Amino acid sequence: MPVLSKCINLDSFISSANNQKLRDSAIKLFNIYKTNRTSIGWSIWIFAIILLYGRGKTGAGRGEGAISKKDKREARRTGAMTESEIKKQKVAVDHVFYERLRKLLKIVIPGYKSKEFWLLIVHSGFLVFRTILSVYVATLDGRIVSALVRKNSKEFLGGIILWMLVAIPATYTNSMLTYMQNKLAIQFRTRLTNYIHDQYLSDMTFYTIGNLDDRIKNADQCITVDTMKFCNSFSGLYSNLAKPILDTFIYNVQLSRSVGGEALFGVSLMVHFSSVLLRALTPPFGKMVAEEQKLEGEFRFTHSRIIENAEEIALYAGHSVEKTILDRAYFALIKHINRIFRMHIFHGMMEDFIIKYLWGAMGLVLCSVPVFFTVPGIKKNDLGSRTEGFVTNRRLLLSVSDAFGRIMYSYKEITELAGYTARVSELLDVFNDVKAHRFRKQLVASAKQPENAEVLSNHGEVIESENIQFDNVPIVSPSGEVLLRSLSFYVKPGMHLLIIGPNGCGKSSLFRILGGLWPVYGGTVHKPNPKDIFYIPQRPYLSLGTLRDQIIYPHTIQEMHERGYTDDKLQEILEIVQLNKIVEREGGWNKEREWKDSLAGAMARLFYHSPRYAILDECTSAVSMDIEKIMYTHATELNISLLTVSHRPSLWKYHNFILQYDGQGGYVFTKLDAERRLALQEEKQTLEQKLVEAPKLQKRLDELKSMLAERDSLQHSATTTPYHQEGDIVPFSLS
Amino acid sequence: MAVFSKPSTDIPAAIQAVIEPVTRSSHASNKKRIFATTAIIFLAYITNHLYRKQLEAQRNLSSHSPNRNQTIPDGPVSGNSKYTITIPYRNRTTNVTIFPTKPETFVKHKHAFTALDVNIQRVGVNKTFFRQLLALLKIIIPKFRSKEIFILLLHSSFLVLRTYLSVVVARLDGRIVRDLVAANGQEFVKGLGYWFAIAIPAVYTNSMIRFLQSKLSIAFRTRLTRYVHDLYLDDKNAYYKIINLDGRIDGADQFITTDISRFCDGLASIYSNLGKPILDTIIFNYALTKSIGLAGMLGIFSNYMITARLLRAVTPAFGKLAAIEAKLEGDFRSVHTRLITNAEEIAFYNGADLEHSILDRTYMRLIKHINSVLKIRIAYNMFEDFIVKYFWSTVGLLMCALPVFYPEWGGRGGRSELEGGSASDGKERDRTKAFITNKRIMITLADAGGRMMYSYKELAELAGHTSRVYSLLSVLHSLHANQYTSVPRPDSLGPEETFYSLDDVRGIIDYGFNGIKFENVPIVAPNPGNDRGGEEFIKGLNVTVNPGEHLLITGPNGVGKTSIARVISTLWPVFRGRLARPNVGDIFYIPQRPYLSIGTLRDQLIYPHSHADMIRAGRTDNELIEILDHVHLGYILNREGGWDTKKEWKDVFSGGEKQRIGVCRLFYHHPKFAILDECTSAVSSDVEGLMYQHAKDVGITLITISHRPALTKYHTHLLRVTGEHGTWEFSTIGTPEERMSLEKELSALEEKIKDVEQMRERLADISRELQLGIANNDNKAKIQKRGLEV
Repeated sequence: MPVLSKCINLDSFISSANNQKLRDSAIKLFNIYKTNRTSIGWSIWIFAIILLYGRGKTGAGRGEGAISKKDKREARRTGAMTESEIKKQKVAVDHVFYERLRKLLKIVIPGYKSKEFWLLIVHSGFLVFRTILSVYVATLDGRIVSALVRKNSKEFLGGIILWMLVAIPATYTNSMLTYMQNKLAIQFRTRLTNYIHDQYLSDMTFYTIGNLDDRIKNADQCITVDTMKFCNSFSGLYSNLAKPILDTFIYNVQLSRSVGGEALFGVSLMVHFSSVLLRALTPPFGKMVAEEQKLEGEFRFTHSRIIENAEEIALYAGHSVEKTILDRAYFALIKHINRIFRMHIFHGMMEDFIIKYLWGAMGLVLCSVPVFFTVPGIKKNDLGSRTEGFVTNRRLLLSVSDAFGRIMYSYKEITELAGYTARVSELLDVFNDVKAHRFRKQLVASAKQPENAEVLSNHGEVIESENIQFDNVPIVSPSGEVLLRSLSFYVKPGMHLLIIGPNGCGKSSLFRILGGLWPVYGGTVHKPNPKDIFYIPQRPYLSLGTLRDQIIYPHTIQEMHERGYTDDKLQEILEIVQLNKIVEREGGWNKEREWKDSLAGAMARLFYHSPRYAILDECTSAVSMDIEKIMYTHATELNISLLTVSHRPSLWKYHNFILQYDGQGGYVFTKLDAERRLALQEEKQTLEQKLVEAPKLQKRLDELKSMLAERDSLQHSATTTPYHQEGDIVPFSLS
Repeated sequence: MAVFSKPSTDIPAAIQAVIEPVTRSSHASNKKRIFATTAIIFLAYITNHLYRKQLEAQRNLSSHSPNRNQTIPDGPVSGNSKYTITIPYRNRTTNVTIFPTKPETFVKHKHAFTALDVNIQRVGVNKTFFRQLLALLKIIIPKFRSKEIFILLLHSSFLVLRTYLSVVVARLDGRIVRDLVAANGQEFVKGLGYWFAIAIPAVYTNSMIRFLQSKLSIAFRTRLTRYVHDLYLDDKNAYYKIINLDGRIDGADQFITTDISRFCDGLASIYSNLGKPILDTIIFNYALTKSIGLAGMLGIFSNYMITARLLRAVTPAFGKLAAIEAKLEGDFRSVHTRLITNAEEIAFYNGADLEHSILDRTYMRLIKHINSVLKIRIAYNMFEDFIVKYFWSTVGLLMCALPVFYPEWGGRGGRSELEGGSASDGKERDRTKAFITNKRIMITLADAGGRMMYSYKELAELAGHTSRVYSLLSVLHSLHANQYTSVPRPDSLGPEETFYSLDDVRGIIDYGFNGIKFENVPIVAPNPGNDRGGEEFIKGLNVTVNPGEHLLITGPNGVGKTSIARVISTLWPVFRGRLARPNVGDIFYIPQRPYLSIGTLRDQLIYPHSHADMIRAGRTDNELIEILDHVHLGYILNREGGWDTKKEWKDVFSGGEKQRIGVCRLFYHHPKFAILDECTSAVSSDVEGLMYQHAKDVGITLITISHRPALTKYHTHLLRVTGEHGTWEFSTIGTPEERMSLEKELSALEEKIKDVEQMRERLADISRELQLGIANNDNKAKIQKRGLEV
C-alpha cells in the first residue's frame, strides 16, 4: 500500500511540476519494481532476518564484554570467593548461558538415536502440522462466513460439517502437542536426574558437597526442584519459541499473498516503531518492583524482630514505640506502592492504546488493502468473497499478533531458563570441582597464618594396605582449622585402640580422614579397603526399608545371600545383642516402616559385617553396662579390632592401646594399662572434689577469724557490732 | 421478544443513543451521541481531577524539608484519638496521620471473632467462609462514608462504563467491517476516526479500573494492618503471648505481612473478577438477544449448559491426581533431604549405592505417576478442545445464521431480513456487520464465562486466605481478652499434683501497691500446647519487698529466677495466690538480653519513650548526657556523632556498652522499683558498683536477679531459689543470726582445710600420670605460643 500511494502522490506532484523526464523515470522505476516485486520482497525479508540475527549477536557480545570485565575484577581479588559474591553473579542471556545450555543439552539429549531426539522430531512435526491446520481453519472460517452473508445455506452447511471434521485432527494435534511437551520435560528430567544421581552418589560427593564446600547450600532443592523447573522451562521454551516463530513465518507468507507484501511490510514497520516507542516510554518498573520488594522485606523484618525480642519488648512495655516503627515501615511501603500505581495509570493507558487500538486499526487497514487497492495477483471480487477474504485475513492477523506477543513474552521465559540453567549447571560444576578435590569454603581466620597456610597447601598420600597407619598426618577441619599438626599412630589386628580427649580436638576428625571424607593435607595414611572398616556413628543411621535392611545395611538382600547369610543367621546375631524379640514384635523381616534409632541394631550391623576394623564413635553412651560388655566381648571374639571414642571409663578394660589428645595440639599414643588408670582416675576425682572446696573454705576461715577478732575487740570496748559488708563476703551458710 | 427488543431501562437507552446513529444517522440521535461522549469524557476528567487534587493535597500537607532536626517529633500520645508519624521516603519525610483503633471497637468486634480450633476447621467456600468474610469486612469497611466505599463506587461505575464501551466497540467494529467489505472508502475512514475517538475513554476506563482495584486492595490492607498492629502491640502484650502463651499461630509475622496482603489482593480482585463478568454477561446477553433473537439465545444457552455438564462429568479427578503427584514429589524431596542430613553416616557406611537405588526408586515412582497422568490428559484435552473450540463456535455460527436463514426466528437481524427492500448487496453488507458484531460479543461472552468459572477457583483461594487472617484476628482478640485455649486435665497427672491450665487462672493481681508482695504465688511456666499444663518452677512464693529493701534473687540456672520477673510483669499469669505490685509506670525491667530498638541514639537511651514523649515529659538532652556520665558512657555521644544518628545499634555497641545502655534507661525513667535481670554481667565491677550505688542513691528499689555473689553487698534481702522441688529460701543479708556460733564453724573449717597442700601434690602426680607425659616442655612452649596467637 505505501508504495502504491506513494506512486499516486508522485503522479500528482509530477504533473504539477510538469516534468516529463522525472515522470518517465518514476514510471520506469515503478515498472522495474513491479516486475521484480517478489524477489525484492524476499530480499527485504532476508535482510530483516539478517538484521535481527546481527542484533542478537551484538547483544550476546555485549554480555560477553561485561562478563570479561567481571572476570578481571575477580582475578584481581585474592582469596576464596564468598557465597554472597557467587549469588551476586548476575544471570544473563549471554554466551555463558548458551555454553551452559549446550553442556546440559548434551546430557538430556545424548545422541541422534536417543528417545528424546525422536520425541523432539515428532513434536516439531506436530508443530508444523498445527500451523498448516490453522491456516486451513482460517480460510474455512472465511468461507463459512461468506456463505452465511450470501445466504447460501448449502455452502454454509457444508462448511459447518467440514469444520467439525477438521476439528478431529486439529484437537488431536493440539492434545498431542501438550502431551509431547510434558513428555519431553519428563524425559529430560529423567536423564538429568539420573546423571546427577550418578554424580552425586559416587565418590562421596553427597558428603563433600555439603561439608567441604560452601557453594551449594541446598543440594536437595537443586536436584529435585531446580532440575524439574529447568526441564519444564526448557521443553516449554522449545514449543513456546518454535511455534510462534513458525507461525509468524507461515502466517506472514499467507497474509502477504492475500494483502500484498508491501502493505504487510509497512504495517510491520509501524508495529515495530510503536513497540520501540512503548518500550522507551515504559518507566523502570523492574527497578521499582525490586524497591517494593525491599520495602516489603523491611516490613517483614521489623515484624520478625518483634517476635524475636518479644520478651524484652514486653518487659520494657515498648509496644507503642514498636508499633510506631512498624507503622512507619508499613507506610513507607504503601507510599511506594501508591507511586507505582500512579505511574501505571498513564503507562497502562498508553499500552492499551497502542496494542489494542492502534494495532487493531492497523489490522483493519491491512485488511482493507485488497478492497481499496489492486494488489498484484489478487482479483477484485464481489462482497461475499470480500467478506471471506476479510474474515480469513483477520483470523490470520490475530494469530500473528498472538505469535508476536508470545515471542515478546518468551524473552522473559528465556531469562527464567537462564536462571535455572545457571543453577543446575553450577551444581554440576561443583560436582566436578569436588570430585577433583577443588573445594571452596570460607576458611577460619587462623588458616591465614603462615604456618597453618603451609600445612593447608600440602597434599598427603593415601595408600591401601592391611593395617591402619598414620604417618605425620595433620588433622585439619574443612574450614581450615589445624587441630593437630602431625599425628602418627597405627592399628594392627588384635589391637584395640581407645581414643580420648576433650571435645572438638579432632577425635571424630580422625575417623573422617580415615573414612576418606576429609582430604589428607600431608603425611601418609595407610588404610585397608573401605569394606574392612566399619563405622558406628554416635547417631545410628537407619535407612528406609525393611527390618532386614536395617541389619544388613548397606548390603542389599542379594548381597546378603551371596555372603551366605540367611534370616536364621541374622536371628542369631540379634540374639547376641539381645534383640531376639524384635522380629516377632515387628512382624517379620520384611516389615517396612519408619525405624527409630536403635543402637543395638547398629551393633547387630557390626556383627553381620564382621569387618577387620570397627570404629565406635561414642556409640554406647545410651546402652546399659551389661549390653556394652556383651558387645565388646563378642566383637573381640570375632577378631574385630576396635577403635573406640568414649568418655566412659568402663570401656577402658576392653582396650590395650590409647591415643590421647590434650586439646592443645598435643597427643600421645601408647599402651594402655586400664586397671591402674582407673584407680588413678578415681582418686583424682575425689581429690579434685575436695580441692574445689578448699579456697571457699579458706576464705570463710579468714573471714571468721577476722570477724571474731573484731568482735573480741568490740566486746572489749563494750559497744554493739555493726556488720561489715566489705569485700566479696559469702555470708550464707556453707555447712 | 418484544420486551427485549424495546429499550425499557436507562442503560440500554444510553447504549442505543450511541449505537443507533451508526446505523440510522438521524440528526436527533447524533446529538445524543455527542452528549453521551461528552458525558464520558467529563466523568473521566472529573475523577481524574479529584484524584490529582487529593494527591496534591496530601503532598502539600505532608512534604517537609528533609532536615531531620526540624521535624516535629511524632508518635502516639496517650489519650489522643489521632497522631502523626513521619516517614522517610525518597530523601524526604512525609507525615501520615494515624487513627488508632478505639478500645470500644475491639470490644464490639470481639463477638464476631469466635475462637476456633485450627486443626478441625475445613477451608472452603461455605458458610464459615462467608461468616468470616463478613467479620473481616466490618474492619476493612468501617462505615458507609469511608474512603473504601468511595473507591468501590467509583470502581463499579467504571466497570459499568467499560462494559458499555465494549458494546460500542463491538458495534463499531461491525460497522467498519461492513464499510470495508462494501468498499466504501469514505465511511471506512470515518469509522476508523470513531475507532480512535472511542479509544481514549476506553483506555482511560481500563486503566482506571486497574488503578482503582489496586487502590482498593491497598486501602483494605492499610485498614487491616493498622487494626492488627493495634491489637498485636497492645498493652496486654499480645505479641508476647501469641508465641509464649498460645500455640495456635505460628509465625505471626508471616500472617501480618504476607497473608493480609494476599487476602486484600484477593478480595479486591474478586470484586472485579466477579463483578465484571456478571455485568458483561447481562449486558451482552441483552445485546445479543436483540440481535439474533430469543430462540438463538436459548440455543446458545442450552448448548453451554449441556456441554459444561458433560465436560464436568468426563473430567478425571485431576485434583486428586495432582495431590498424589505433589505427595510423590515431596517423598522424592524428603529422601534427598534425608541423604543430606545423614551424609556423614552414609559416607562412613559406604551406603551410597543403596541410597542411590532408593533415590532412583522414589524418582521412578514419581515419573510413572506423572506419565500416567499425562496419558489420561491426552484424551481429555482432545475432548475439551473439541467442545470448547470447535463445537461451541459451530453453535455460535449456527445461531448467527438463524436470522439469515430463518428471519422469523431471529431478533433485529431477522427483522431487517424481512424488511427486505434494499438491494441484495446492501443486505449482505448488513449481514456482515451483524455477524462481526455478534461474533465479537460472543467472544467477550465466552471470555466472561471463562472468567466466572475461573473466579470460583479464586474464591476458594480467597477462602484460604480469609481463614488464615480470621484465625490470626480471633487469636489476637482472645489474647486481648485474656482468654486461652482450654486443656483437659490429663489422667496421668496424680491427684495430689496441681494442674495449671491457662484457662483456669485463679490468681489475683493488685495494682497500686507500694512494693511487691507475693502471697502463695507459684511460679509456673505456662507451656501452651503441653498436655500436662504449666510446669511449676517455684512452689507458693511468699516474699514482700518494701521500698528501700533491695532484694537479690540467686540460684542455679533454669530454676525460674527470670520467671519471677515475668510473673511480676504479668507476662506470665498468676495461676494461684495473690500478687500485689506497683502501677505500670512505677516499675522498670532491664532484661537479660540487651535489646536495642531501631532508631536514633537518643531513642536507645529513652526506650520505650519516643522523642515526642521525651519532649512532652520536659526532659532535655542535657539530662541524657548526665545519665550517660553516670554509667561512664559519656564518650559514645561524640563517637557516634550526636543524638540523631541512626545505626544498627546491635552491631555498634559492645556487650558491656549494651548493658550500660539498659541501665541508662533505668536512670532516665527513674521508677520506684527496678528489676535487673543479670544485666551487668559484662560491666567491670567498679562501674557496676557505681551504677548500683547511684540507683540506690536516687531512691530506686532494686530487685536483682544474678548469681554473682559480688552483688550481695548492694542488697538487704536474699531470695535463694534452690531448684529442688520448687523450694526457696528467703533471708535478710547480714542479720545477727547469720553469725551465730562462729567459733564452732571455725574449728570445723580448720579441720577440713588442714591437708589441702598434701592433696594438691597428689593431684598433680595423678594428672601427670593420666596425661601420659604429654605436657613436656616442648608442648608447653607450643601452648604458650598458641595463647599469644589467640
